[in-house]
Amino acid sequence: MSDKKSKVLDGIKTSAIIKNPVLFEAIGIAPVVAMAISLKAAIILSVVSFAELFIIEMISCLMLKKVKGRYRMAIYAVLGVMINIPLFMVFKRFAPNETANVGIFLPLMAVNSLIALHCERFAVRNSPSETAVDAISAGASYAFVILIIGIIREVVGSGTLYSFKLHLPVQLSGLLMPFGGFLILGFFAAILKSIIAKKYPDEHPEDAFSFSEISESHIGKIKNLMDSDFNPYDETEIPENYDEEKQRHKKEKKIKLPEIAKEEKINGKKKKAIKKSSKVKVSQAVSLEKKRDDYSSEFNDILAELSEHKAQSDEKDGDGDDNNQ
Amino acid sequence: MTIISNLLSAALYAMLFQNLIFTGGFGASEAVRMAAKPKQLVPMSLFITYFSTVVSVICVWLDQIPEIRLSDKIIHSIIFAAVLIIIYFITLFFIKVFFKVKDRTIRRLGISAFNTLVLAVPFINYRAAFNITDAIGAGIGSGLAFVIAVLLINFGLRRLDKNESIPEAFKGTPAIFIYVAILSMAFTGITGRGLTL
Repeated sequence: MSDKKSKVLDGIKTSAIIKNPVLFEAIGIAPVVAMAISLKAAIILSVVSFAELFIIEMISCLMLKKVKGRYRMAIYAVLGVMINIPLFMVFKRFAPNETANVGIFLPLMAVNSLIALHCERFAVRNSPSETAVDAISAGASYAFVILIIGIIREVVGSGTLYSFKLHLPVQLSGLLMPFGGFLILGFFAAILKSIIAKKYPDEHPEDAFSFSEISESHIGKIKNLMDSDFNPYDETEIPENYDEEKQRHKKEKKIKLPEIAKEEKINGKKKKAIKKSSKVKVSQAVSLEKKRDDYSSEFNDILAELSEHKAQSDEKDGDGDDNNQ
Repeated sequence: MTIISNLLSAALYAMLFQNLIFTGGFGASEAVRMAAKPKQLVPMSLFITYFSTVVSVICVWLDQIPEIRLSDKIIHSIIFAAVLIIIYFITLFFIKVFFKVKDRTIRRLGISAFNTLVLAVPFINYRAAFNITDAIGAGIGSGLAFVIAVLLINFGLRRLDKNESIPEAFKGTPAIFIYVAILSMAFTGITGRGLTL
């Protein structure tokens, strides 16, 4: 039970902190830098992104594992649009001004790279429970980053919070531009990185973004793109017979398990037998020693009796000799 | 002549001044990640340019139908997404038939089709009431803007990677974000304002 709990906590830590999708993997940046300029907009964006990521990840885990990757990418977009429309209508009804301010970014959330990355890297190759943990932790951390950046930009850029005036002496309206979003993202990532370095010294968030190929040539041929393993999202490839192999692995495990159990049983029996025999041996030794003690005491008694008898007979012989004299 | 000048001016504006990646943040994730792996920049940019141009033109053409033109943002977003998905499947079919490439590499096409940059172009055309010539220019310009963004970020990354004096906490993505922020600031300075949609 505690092992399961620690596994879940480890998954949350990795998805939400160590491999934070926006801050360390540079995924789903567009809505954060462009539209997270106020708390209200940030709430809309974070709700939409969380709902989309969770629902699409769960659907791809439960239903799209056998669908080919090239079709899955289009299905994510279709699902994204289908989830967006009802959310868009709800927000438009209850917060029309804020929804209008978010602009075209609400429909664009349907093709957010965060969804494609997490579905391809995690959902299609893991169990529903593991996928749920990943979707919740990644979605929540993404929403958290949007909210924090939205609050900072609204307070510093507009001098308000949730549209309430804060009467600040200085307003830096440049922060409401996309470059302000990039700037805050950079400092936020640095703060989180230094916290991780202190709290988890063995973890390296910089590994989430590889610099190893940056010096390669920019010029590539169209044929190379088709033949090479170009992989900007660093997904590991699922083999064609992934499900078959997984099932075979499971079966092998099932077969192996009783064998191992049998072996363990035999070993246990052997151990018990050894234990038993050793116990018997000990008890035998004890009883032998006891017996030896008994025999020696008996022998000593007999010896004592004999010596007594000898002494008596000697005395008798002495009396007889005296009478004869 | 007017058509060509319109097309070129729309393309140049989208590429240099209204660079969607720096002034709007569209496709920023793809640009940053592509800058770290520039090996396939040219072909990937070609695909992005192809998707943005074709989707842009078809959406502007559809927008000339009065019923669609007068519909609201939700209907427009459904139509734009549907056009992108159909174009993606048609391209997939042609690539599969004529190039006979491996399944795993075809999947990468999805990255160049389904991103915020490609889907943002028809929305911008709709807002700016572009005609088909402008739409072609905007589509090509967006693809070229992506190339410029990737090259600029990549040249910066090469220097950031060799720079030993960067504080430990800022190494990696924090430094990249701040570098992109400076580039973004420069492009915003050229236009005088950010991209408002």
